[in-house]
Amino acid sequence: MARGGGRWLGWARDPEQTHRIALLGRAPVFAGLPRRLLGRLGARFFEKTYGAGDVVFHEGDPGKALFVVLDGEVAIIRAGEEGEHVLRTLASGACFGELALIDEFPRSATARVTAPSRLLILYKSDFDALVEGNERIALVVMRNLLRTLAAYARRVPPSGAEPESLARPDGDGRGDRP
Amino acid sequence: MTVAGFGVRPAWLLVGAAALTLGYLFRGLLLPLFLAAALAYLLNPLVVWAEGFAIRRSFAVAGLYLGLVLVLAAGALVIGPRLRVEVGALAARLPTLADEVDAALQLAARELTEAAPALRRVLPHPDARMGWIERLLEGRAGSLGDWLEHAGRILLVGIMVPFFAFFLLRDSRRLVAWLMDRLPPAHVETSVALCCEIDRLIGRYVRGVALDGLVFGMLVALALWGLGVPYPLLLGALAGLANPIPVVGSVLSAAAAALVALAHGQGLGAVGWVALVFIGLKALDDVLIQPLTIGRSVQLHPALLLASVVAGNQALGILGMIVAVPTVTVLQETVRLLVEHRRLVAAPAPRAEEPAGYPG
Repeated sequence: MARGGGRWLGWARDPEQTHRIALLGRAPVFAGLPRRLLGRLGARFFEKTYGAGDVVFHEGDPGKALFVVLDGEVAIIRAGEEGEHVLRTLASGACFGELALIDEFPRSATARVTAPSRLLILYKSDFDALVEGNERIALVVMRNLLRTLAAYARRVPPSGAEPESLARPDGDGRGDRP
Repeated sequence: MTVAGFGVRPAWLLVGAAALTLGYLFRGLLLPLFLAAALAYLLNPLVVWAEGFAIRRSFAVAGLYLGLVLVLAAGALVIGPRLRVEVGALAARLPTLADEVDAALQLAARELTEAAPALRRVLPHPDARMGWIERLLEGRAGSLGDWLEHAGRILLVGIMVPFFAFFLLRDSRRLVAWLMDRLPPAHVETSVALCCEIDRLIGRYVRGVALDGLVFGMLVALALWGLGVPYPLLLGALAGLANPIPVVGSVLSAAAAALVALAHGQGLGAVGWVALVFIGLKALDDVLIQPLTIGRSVQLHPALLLASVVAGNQALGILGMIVAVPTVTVLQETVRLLVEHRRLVAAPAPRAEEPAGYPG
């Protein structure tokens, strides 16, 4: 409707929601979803503003939600024996914490905001409620998640040791890492 | 600093206490606010659906209200004339209603004692005027001034409910965003989880109760019309409205239908049929309609359910009886989620199959 409804409907259109839909369409986990379903999905997200230095979640916290960076910057950090190291830095359009859509297993890394940011938050049970009547969303999202996990599994050395880098070579901020 | 390890700051407790105090001071607004919230929950899925097409909430809500007015107008055209006839007939009979019910009860008592003489011990003498119906009606009816006051209050509630619901629907997203921005980041995930669960629970309950009441009321109206009981639409509406009150609601509506049948000289046989119809429909409601409409959103122990209804009645009367079950369910769900969160934080089990280092 937003696209085909004609220009005369422009005054009724919500620019914020339009922006969200476009942003979600670029997120790897929602790639392939038609605009209509992206709209339904977008209406389920919460929004929160974070300050620089705020921790979105800590390693070990139960995962209950998926996050999408609306604007700003978020670092995914893991604590090691030699101190913290940044696995990846995420910018607008990137999402993290996707595995929370599968189960509530504890987070395996910390997410810290490095510049003032606005994040979109999708809670697992909200996602579950949405996919109950929209199998296509479940199918597309799970396929994208599997692709991400498969890509990750191929990069992990057979011993299961930590890979040297989790970042995509192109470093576009919307990589296949959460 | 937190309270009882649940991560609740004293400032939030103060905000809660202030909200409770304000709620008590402005308790006259509770009924319209409660009904407005219920209406907003009923209509919200349609607003969210429109939001999926990137339509502004204000336009979506305005369009929805316009549609609602059209639907109500169409409904008034279809069942309005019949309902008006029933209300007119009832209003015309009101002055003599107490006497008619009294006489009908006397007749019923006589029939019963003739059929089973042993009942003479427990039933009042058939020739004695019972008078309690008269006293009850007089006590409820009051003076003309009371009637006008009641009518004025109902009109005010009728105006305030859609008014409040409009703004609740339009601004709920902004309100939630405002609240979210004030939450400490550490609590956001759990808070969002709680919000979603509670929101879904209340939404499903309110929509389920409304649909259940509508179906139950229609079935009662049809059954009473089939039995030839007068005012089937009014009695069906009463049954549908009273249905959300657990246990008591259906008993009250059945009693009203039985009294109407008696007052119109339909005798004890009709009362028996009315009782059978209500028992059958209530069983159908519990077994089939409620699982389909309300589902498993309310899972209270029967003892807790009854206790919450009694406590609700003592605190807020009929409104308390209606809100008791969802309130206790929300509290139960909140505690369950908080306990589950603490359990997950306290004992995160390792996952053997997790790909090493995947930061999900």
